[in-house]
Amino acid sequence: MIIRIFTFILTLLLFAGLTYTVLSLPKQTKGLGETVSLQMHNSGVSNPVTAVLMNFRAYDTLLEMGVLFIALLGVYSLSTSQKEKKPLLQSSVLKRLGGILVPLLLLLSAYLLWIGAHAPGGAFQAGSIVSATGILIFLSGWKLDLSARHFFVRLLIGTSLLVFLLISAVTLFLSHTLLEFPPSYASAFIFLLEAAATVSIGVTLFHLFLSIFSQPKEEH
Amino acid sequence: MEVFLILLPIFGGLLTFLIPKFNKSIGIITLILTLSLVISVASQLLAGGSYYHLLGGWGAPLGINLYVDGLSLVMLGLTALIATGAGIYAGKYFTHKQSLWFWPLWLFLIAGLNALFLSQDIFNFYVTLELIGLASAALTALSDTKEALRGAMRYLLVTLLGSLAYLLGVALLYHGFGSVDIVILSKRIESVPVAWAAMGLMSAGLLLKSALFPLHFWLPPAHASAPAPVSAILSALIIKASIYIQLRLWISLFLPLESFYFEIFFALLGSFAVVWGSVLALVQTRLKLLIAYSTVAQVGYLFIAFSLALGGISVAWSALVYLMLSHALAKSALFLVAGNLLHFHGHDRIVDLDRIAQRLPLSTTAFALAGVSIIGLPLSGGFIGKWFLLEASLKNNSWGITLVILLGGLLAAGYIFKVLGFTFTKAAVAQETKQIPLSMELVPLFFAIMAILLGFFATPMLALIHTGNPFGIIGATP
Amino acid sequence: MNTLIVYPLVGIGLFCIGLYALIMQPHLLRKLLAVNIMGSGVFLVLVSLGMSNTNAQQDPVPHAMIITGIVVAISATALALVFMIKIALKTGKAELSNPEEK
Repeated sequence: MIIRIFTFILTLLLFAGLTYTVLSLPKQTKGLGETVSLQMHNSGVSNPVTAVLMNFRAYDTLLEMGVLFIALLGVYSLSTSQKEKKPLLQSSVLKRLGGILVPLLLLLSAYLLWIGAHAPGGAFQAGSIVSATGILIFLSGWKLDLSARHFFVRLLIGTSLLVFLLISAVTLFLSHTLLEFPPSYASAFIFLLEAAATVSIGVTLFHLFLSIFSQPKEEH
Repeated sequence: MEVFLILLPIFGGLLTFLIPKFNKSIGIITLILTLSLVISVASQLLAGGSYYHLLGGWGAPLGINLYVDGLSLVMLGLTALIATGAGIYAGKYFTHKQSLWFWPLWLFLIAGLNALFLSQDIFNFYVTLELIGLASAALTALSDTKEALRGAMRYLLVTLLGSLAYLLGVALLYHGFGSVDIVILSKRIESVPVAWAAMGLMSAGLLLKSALFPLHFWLPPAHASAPAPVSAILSALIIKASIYIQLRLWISLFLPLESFYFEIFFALLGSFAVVWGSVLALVQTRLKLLIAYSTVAQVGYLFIAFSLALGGISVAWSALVYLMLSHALAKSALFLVAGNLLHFHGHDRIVDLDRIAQRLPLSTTAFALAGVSIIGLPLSGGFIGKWFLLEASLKNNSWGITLVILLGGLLAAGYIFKVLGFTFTKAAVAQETKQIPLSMELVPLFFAIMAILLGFFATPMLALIHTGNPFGIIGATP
Repeated sequence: MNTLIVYPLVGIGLFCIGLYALIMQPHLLRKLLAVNIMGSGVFLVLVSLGMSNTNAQQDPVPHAMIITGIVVAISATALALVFMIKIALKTGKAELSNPEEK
C-alpha cells in the first residue's frame, strides 16, 4: 500500500513537472519544416514524410528494418513447434469473404505503396495491409506453407535489408557517401526501397503473428 | 570505411540467416573483417584527425551525421575485439538449434553497437538503443530456461522503459531547440525548463539501462542467466553503450546546465553502487551472480569518475574510459570462465568447485588475471584506471570518494580470492565433469591478458583516446 | 492560449499512467500494455508539440520519427509477447515473481 501511494505521488510529480515544461515552451517552436521544404525538390518524392523517412533520414529506416528483423529472429528462437498450425476458426462465411477481400487488400496495399510518393501512405502502411491479408488467409483456413525453413521465405523476409545494402553499395560507389541519392535517380531508389520494405514488413509482421499465435498452449 | 562497420555485420547477419549451413564460418569471417575495418578506421583517424560522414550527403540538421574521434574509436575497437573473441567461444558453446539464431542476432547486435558508437544524432541513438536492447534480450532468452526467460523479460521491460523516457527527452529537445543533431543542439541549448526536463528524462532512462544503483535490480538475474558469451557482451558492452551516450550528451549538451548538485548525485549513487555491489558479490553462492554483482560495483566506479569529470577534473575522463576498457575485457573473461566452469561441472556453485586449478589451469589463470584487473592490482589496466580515479579524487579533495575507492578494491579482492580459494579445494561430493574445448579456454585467457596489457600501454592508449579532443565542450563543426 | 496544447498534455498523461501501471501491475500482459500506452503518449507528444504553430506547414520530421517508433514498438511487443507466453508455460503464471519464492 505504501509503495502504491509512493509510486502514485511520484508519477503525479512527474506529470506536474512535464506539464510545466510543455506550457513553458515558446508558442512558435522551431522545427525542421522549412529546411525540409527547401530540399523537397532534391528528394525525388513530393510527400515530405516519405522524403524524410526514405531519403533525408533513410539510415534510421535501415536500422529500423534491422530492429524488425531482430524481433522476428528472437521470436523464432523461442518458437517450439513449427509443424502444425491449425487455424482457429472454421467458418464458411470467413472463407468466402476472404476470397473476395484478399485481392482487394493486395490492390489496396499496392495503391498505398504507390501513393506514398505524393500523399500519406508508403511502405509501412502497405506492409501492414500485406500482413493483415496473410492473417486473413491463415484464419480462413487456407493452406499456406510459409515456414522459415524455405529459403524463399527467408529471402522475402530479408529482401528489404538486402535491397538497402545493395543501394548502399551503389551510393557508396557513386559518391563515397552512404545513401546519397543523385536527385535525378532518387525517386527510383526510393521506390525500390519502399517496394522491398513493403514485402519484408508484410511477411515479417505476418510471421510474428503466426509464431506467437501458434505457440503451444501447454508444456508438452 | 566507418560505414562498413555498420553495413558489414548487417550483411553477415543476413547471410547467416539465409544460409544457416555455413553460419559459423560466415559469422567468424564477418567478425574478423570487422576487426580489420576498425584498424583501417584507426589509421584514417590517426592520419587526419577526427572526421564526419554526412549520411545521404545532407548534413545536419536535415540528415544524420556519423562522427569518429578517439572515444568512438576505442569503443569500436573494444566491440570488435570482444565480439570476435566471444564469437569464437560461442562457436563451440551453443547447440546446433541455438546457433541458428545466435549468429544473426549476434551480428546485428554488433552492427547496432557500431552504429551507436558512430552516431551523432540523438534520435538515431534511440534507434540503435532499441536495436541493441531487443537483440540482447533475445540473446539472453536463447538458453530457454525459466530463469533466462524471466531475466530476459525483466531486461526487455526495463530497456523499453529506459528508451521511452529517453525518447520523450528527445521530443522535448527537438521541439525546444529544433534539431536532433548533438553539435547543433549544443550551440542552441540554454538553461530553460525544457532543457532541464529533457536532461532528467534522458539521464533517468540511460541510468536505468546502465544499471546504476538503485536501478540495478534487473541486471543480476539477466546477466547471470544468459548464455556465457551473451553475459560477456552484456556486461562488457551493452551497459557501456548507454554510459557512452550519457557521456556524449553531458559533454556537449548538459554541461552548460550542470550544477554542483549533479556531481554530488552521481558521486553518491556511484559510491553506494560500489559498496552495495561489492558486498552483495561477496555473499553470493553462485559464480555467475557474483560476477554480475561485481558489474554493479564497477558501474559505480564509472559514475564516480563521471561525477569528478563533471566537476572539471580532466584526469577523471581518462579514468572513466580506462575503467570502461579494462572492466569490459576483464569482465568478459570472468563470464567466459564462469561459462567454462558451468559447462565442466554442470553447475556454478562456488563451494562445490572441484580442484579446478589442477584440472582447468588455463581457465583458472584467466580468472586470476582478470581478477587482478578488477581488483586494480598494480600494472593491470584496472590499476591505471583506479590510479587516475584516486588522483582525481585527491585533486578534488573528496576524501569520502577516496575511501570508497579503496574499500571497493578491498571488497573486490575479497570476492575474487574467495572464488580462487575454492578452485584449489576438493569438493565434498565427487562430480561428473565434461571436457572443455581448448578454444573456450584460450579466449578468456586472451581477454584477461589484454586487460593486464592495457596497464602496460597506458601512454599510447591515452593518446589514442584523446584524439580529436572528445572531452572538449563542443565538437568541431563538420 | 493555444488549444492544441491539450494534445501534448494528454500525451504526458498517457506516459505517466503507463509508468504507474508498469510499476504496479504484476501481470506481464498488463505491463506490456502499460509500455505500449507510454509509447503512444511519447508519440503524441512528439507529433503534437510540433503542431503548436498554426499557420506554417506541418513539420514532417516528427511524423517520420513516429513511424520509426511504431515499428520499434511493434517489434518489442512481439518479442515480449513470446517471452510472456514462454514464462507462463514454464511457471504457470505470467508474472515476474521473485525467484526465491519458487
